Amino acid sequence: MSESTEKKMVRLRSSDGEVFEVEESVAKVAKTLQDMLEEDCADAVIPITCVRAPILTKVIDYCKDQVMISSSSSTTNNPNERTEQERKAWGQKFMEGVDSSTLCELLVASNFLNIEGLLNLGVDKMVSMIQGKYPQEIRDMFNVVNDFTPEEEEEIRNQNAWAFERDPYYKKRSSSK
Amino acid sequence: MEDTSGDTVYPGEDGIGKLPEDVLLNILSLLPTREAVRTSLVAQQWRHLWKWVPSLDFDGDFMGKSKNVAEFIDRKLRGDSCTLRRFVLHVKNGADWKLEYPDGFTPHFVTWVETAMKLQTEILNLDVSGLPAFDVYDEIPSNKTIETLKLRLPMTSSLRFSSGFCRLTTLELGNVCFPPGKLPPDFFPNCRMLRYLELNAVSLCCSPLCISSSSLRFLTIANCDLKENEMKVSAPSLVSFKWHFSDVPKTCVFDRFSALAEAEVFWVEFLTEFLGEVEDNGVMSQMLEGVSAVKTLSLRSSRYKHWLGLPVKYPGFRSPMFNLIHLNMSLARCICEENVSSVMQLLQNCPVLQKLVIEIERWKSCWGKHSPPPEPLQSFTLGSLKEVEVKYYHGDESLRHWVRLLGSHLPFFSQMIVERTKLKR
Repeated sequence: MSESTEKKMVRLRSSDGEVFEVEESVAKVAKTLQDMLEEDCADAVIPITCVRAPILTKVIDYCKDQVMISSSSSTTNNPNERTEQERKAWGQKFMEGVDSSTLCELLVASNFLNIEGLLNLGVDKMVSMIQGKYPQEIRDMFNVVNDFTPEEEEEIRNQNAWAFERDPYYKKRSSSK
Repeated sequence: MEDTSGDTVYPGEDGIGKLPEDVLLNILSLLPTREAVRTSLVAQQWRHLWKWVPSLDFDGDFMGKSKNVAEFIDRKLRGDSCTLRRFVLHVKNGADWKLEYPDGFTPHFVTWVETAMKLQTEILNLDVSGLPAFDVYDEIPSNKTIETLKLRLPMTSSLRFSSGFCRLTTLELGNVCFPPGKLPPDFFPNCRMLRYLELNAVSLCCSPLCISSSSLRFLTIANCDLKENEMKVSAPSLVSFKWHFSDVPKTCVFDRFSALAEAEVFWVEFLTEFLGEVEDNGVMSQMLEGVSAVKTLSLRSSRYKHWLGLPVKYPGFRSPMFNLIHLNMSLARCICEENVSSVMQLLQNCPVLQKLVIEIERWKSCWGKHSPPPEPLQSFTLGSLKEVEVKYYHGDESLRHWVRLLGSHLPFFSQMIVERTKLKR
């Protein structure tokens, strides 16, 4: 560690106006920001227009951790499967307790900022949430309004009737509740 | 902890509706196809999404009737602007398929594989072991996009490969038979990204099995009939090696796997028990030399002699295992005093061993009345050994004696667990 390498800071502004100051290495985890920084928009505050402060906090947490992981794995030159497993466990823990609306915002943010790892975590979480669910359950979970007319609904059902048959496993699961 | 209590969502303001379409498609592509199709009923925005999902996934007990599934796959693959990144089909119980396609399924299957290969698929995972046997004599053409290829065919069906799978990282083959020369010798060296390889019930007729790969990290060979084959494995990056077999190959050359962390060797025996002793042809010795850099080693056998007779007979078993930390031996039918000296000999070659687990199944004693109890061996110390665990089933007095004897040679471990469990049947 040499003292001369002064850490360069980057400022980010969330959609609701809060300003976050982070190290450049942390910001660069987001590909979108990396591109911007390489084009040299240095001192100005970078507006992240579609991401609210609580979400941005979470995103920054993720980026900080990625920086930590990559710096520690370069010292131990044995990045074998176990660390991959640990990473997986860490990802699950990171996503624990994230509710459906936060998850959607996180997905929008990681897609906009182009953070592949976070996007994948979010997608996996989303998949685990909607797996095995029927349309009405998905609507309830994400507050989606059913904008089909009964006729349309009938038409869609008939189009792929095989997909809408309730499977025996589903019945068992819902009756046990 | 950040405060997220302000995230009240008002009716009609669905977060999921704001997701970009490619993120939604990404999510749907990870769902079973049946569920992805079902989402068309969620809202107008979702109505046609499923048509663009770049995956086919039919897995699980209830994926739909065979006719629906086959038609759906046909329609999808015939589509003009079809993109397909992932294609998963698991038919393990094919009763319904056999009824629907009494004349066999070969043409369908071959077309699917061919089309998927053309569509720049990344993951192709077809387990059709439940279908009636068919011959796939078609050649699987080389492919530059596929990353994961898993094929489990019904019974033993033949296959040909051409080499040139340059992005392949995972290859799993089950119930596959390669007619002579149909697995080109340069196949594995040309898979430059290959990390996982599993061969399960793969037969090569008489051609040698040569696995040579500098990228390979995980290798599993199980239930492959290699009696008539020469086997050659050279994989300097190998981390994990699992080998389950019933017949040893004709000849065997293992390059020393210097990066190996874990190895599991399981000698399953079926009929030979009744046919008398199987002579080991030196293959085991070769294999043990190959894995001698390992950190965790599991040796399992349905007969004791395979492992415990070896140190005396073969120098390979005597080669030092300098890195071995954890040794797990699962033995059956341990007989006579040879055991103790064999285990001791093995342990003497493991200077950093910390944990030793011995599981003994179906103990059969030759001591007791007929032979005198064994003499203690010359003593040696194993300073690093901290934990010894002996688990046995159906033990008798002579086994207890054996365990005591073992204990007398291992004075420095802190913990010894001897567990007697009745075998549950």
